[in-house]
Amino acid sequence: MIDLGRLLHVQGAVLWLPCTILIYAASTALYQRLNKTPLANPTLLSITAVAVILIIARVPHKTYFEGVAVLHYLLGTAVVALALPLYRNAHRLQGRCIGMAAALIAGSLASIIIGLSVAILAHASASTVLSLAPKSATAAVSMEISRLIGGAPAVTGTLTILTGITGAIVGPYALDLLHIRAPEARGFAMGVASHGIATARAFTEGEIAGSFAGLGMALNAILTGLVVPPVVRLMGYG
Amino acid sequence: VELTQVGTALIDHLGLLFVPAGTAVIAYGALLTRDGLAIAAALVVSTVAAVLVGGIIAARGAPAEPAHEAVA
Repeated sequence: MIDLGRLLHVQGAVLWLPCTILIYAASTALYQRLNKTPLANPTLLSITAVAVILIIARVPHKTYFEGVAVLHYLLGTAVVALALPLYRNAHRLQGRCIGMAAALIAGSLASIIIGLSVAILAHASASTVLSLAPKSATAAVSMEISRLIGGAPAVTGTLTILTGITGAIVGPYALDLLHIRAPEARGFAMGVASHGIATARAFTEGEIAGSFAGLGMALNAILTGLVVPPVVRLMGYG
Repeated sequence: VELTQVGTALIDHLGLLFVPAGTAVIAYGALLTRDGLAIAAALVVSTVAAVLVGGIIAARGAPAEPAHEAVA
């Protein structure tokens, strides 16, 4: 006897990985074709396409995730790999350390305080406000901070990804508008504000921008952990 | 050399690795209907502010460019 439901489930699990890779390859091709316009962000295009398929096919996210978990677990490895290009470009830090430190502190505080203020003014629920607070840090860290301050880690994970996509899209336009062209500054600002997804975008601008984005992401993961708990308490939450 | 190749491959496809976690957004329909507008406003305003503030300061902190125009 063949259990059809089980067979479909197993096949689904096998299909999701190649399916996701194909969608991402197509999204990347489109992004390149459109001269890397930030709006055609391949991560956003892929997530949208997969989400539409999952909703139409009535597949729960958990089932899909089990099929593609290997990609998710490679994230940690990829973050460690960011040390390689940074090492190659480490000499560019010379004379920039103080400026970068100031940019880190200002960018991190702006993200946290303005994000919280807008959410509170727009009457978001207390749980959403708390879950939003650490959103600029990379997901593994932001979810842990969220747990510490009484937010919902899973919600924070999703808000973190949305922050990454937002920064990868609006970041380049905002920097262009102010004629900020130095790849070190562009990358660093995007990495601080929007972690890995903006770092991926920065690498498509060039290796220098990408390396500095990776640096900004790593440093802000630490700073966010230090700043968010006291700021949240000061604002009367948690 | 191999380490560099694996590292480069991972970084080149960094965007792909966020797709599994990113699609979790479909599980948050209720939250997004309730707080979606507040969340969207908070994300866009705070991210633009952070990129601009960080970008301006990081660009100013750059070492002075060598003077191209000699002063007489």
